[in-house]
Amino acid sequence: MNERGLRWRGIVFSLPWIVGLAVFSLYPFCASLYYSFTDFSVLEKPVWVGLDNYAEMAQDPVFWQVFWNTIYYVALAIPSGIVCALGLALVVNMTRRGQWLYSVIFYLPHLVPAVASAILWMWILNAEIGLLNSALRPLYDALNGLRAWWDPALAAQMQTAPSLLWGPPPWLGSPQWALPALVVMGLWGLGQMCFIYLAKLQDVPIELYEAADIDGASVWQKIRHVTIPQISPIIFFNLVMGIIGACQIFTEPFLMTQGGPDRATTFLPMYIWDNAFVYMRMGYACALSWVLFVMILVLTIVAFRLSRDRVYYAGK
Amino acid sequence: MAADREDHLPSGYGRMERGWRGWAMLAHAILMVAGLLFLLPLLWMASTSLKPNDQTMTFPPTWIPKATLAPLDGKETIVTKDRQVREASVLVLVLEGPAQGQRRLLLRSEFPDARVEPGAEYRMQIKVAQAGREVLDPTPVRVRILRDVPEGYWKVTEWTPEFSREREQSKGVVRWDCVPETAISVKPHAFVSNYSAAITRMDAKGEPDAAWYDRGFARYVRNTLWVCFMSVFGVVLSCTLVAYAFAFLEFPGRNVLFAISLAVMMIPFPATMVPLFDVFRWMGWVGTFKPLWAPAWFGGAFYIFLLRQFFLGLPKDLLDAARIDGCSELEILWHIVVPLARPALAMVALFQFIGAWKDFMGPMLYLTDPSQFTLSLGLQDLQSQHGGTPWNVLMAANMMFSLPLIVLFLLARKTFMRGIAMTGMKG
Repeated sequence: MNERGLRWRGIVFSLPWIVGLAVFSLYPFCASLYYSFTDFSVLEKPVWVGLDNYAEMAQDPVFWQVFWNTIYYVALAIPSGIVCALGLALVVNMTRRGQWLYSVIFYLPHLVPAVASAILWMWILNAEIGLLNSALRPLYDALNGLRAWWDPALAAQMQTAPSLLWGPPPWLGSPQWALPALVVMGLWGLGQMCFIYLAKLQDVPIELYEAADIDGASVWQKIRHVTIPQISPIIFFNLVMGIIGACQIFTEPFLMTQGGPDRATTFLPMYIWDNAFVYMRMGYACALSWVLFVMILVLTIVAFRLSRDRVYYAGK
Repeated sequence: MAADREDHLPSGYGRMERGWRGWAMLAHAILMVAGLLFLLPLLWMASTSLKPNDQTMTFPPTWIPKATLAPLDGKETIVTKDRQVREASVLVLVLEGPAQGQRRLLLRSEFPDARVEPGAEYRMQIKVAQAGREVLDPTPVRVRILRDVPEGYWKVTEWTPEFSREREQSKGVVRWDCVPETAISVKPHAFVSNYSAAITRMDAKGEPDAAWYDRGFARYVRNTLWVCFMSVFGVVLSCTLVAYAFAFLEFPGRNVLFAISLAVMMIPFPATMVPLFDVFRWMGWVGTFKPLWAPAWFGGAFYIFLLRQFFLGLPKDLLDAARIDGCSELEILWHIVVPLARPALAMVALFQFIGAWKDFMGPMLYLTDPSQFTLSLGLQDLQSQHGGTPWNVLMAANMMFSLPLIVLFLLARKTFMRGIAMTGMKG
């Protein structure tokens, strides 16, 4: 009786989750696949249209722009995020005092809600009066001075044509700088990743370093051949989480640029949002969301493939 | 373990070879620079939130908010410098006409006499406000001389807080005076009034005659706290139960269910957003807080995973002993597991609270009426209000929105850090 009782209890205990999984994850997931083959505005019943949504997508220049924007963002944000977070964690691990203080400082920005950080960064990235460009402008002035000194002919031209002067990028105001600006802003919130690395760095068995010491390894060699392989599973974990997170970027561009200028910062989540809740094209939005899902899947598989021989799992 | 390491080793990477001792110093130098870069935006937010509006756009940027002080009617007052007087002028009081009781600054050269005595009265043409513009009124009015204003004096205006009642009531008529450069002093001053300005501005959204707790800001706080507490309560309750089942109870399909639970973490929210919205619309929940907290009562994959990991680390003998003593599973959960897992539960509660507090997409999707806004939406609304909100007021609102989380984090730092470290255990 006890055995069977335990079985039933197991199911009863996990019942909320089974229901939750079904209603809030699996059903929407499958329904979105079905809707992606239909023409569906909220007010009317979905009408089956086969692959029309996907065919339309292939013809939709906006979709392709948004698609490549998303890829471009992921391609910039993931490597820079991993390098910076890992780099900082490696350096923090080099110290003995004040580790907690550094990790607290790096973590604080992660606590600022997206709406608040979006507003703050709009202010910092402001082309004319923003803090960043206020700091950069003297550098550019010095650079212009140097150019003028180097090339007197250019100096004369600069007097009449101010467009020849170099200046700090207008960030959110220009199509080519808005997306990198969002990446820089994203780096500000890497504290969480950094802290996960740090926790893992401290779990690396001390004996490995001692063994390396006996072999006369330098600090760099130890980091390269002991530390990195030891924490490779967590690098991989952060890579996958980073891909999922980066593909979902919504709030920042939604508030800061409304996807502009020239749709340079419209990413898939925002295009899904617009189609679903602005243009009321739920079917097309679902097709887009499947593209997003497949994109994440493919990127994750690529990450798996690339790291298969480079990730070290203890005991496997 | 950690203490052990600190005692015996000169660095986190074992022994340093000779000449590398400087690395610790270099590491600190790098971290200080990096730390400063991370803190700067936060400090900038804090500093801007305490500045008067005219100091938010200065070049080069200033970090310490300062007040300009000048004697106004003999009393030291916070003022803004309007302009420097370019030509010798005379300060007069208008005695009649629409501008009666107001002050005017007239050019010295416009007066017929070479000397003007304070108290003397003249008939002069003055500028009056007409349809929002200052125009010269052709009919002269009686004015009384107050004082001579030599060239180089400053016209200073009394500073009133943004969106304050004083500013509303003054209707453009503000106290001002002309003072010499030497009478003006500048000293650090925190303009805390930006915070009340932000609240007033958010309150303007609600019914004007409603009680304070029913107007914008207080309402947003209440709504946010409601969603936070409901979802925290639900998530802790449901995830404890489910994680207990995953950790200690055998049941058919457990491993499959667990694998699915991990897999759904891969599904991005935007991918399920549309049908989920449809589900809630079908339930009639759009326009209520329920879509924001109800799903939490059915557990969350990430938290279930975290708690399961923690539960698996608990001594199993204790549970078996309790079972032999005839405790039911619920009793074991409540009397043994919950007390032991308190740090892990606290962590789940904290993460969920912060997640719910920060959430923007959810409220944006499901809440329609301004009376239901959470702080996220209130802040976004403040930022996009017609006519714009000055940066200092926006930053004050930003601070009010972010500071509770930062304080919470600093208070529960240990719990947090342990939790984040556990996040990586999946690897």
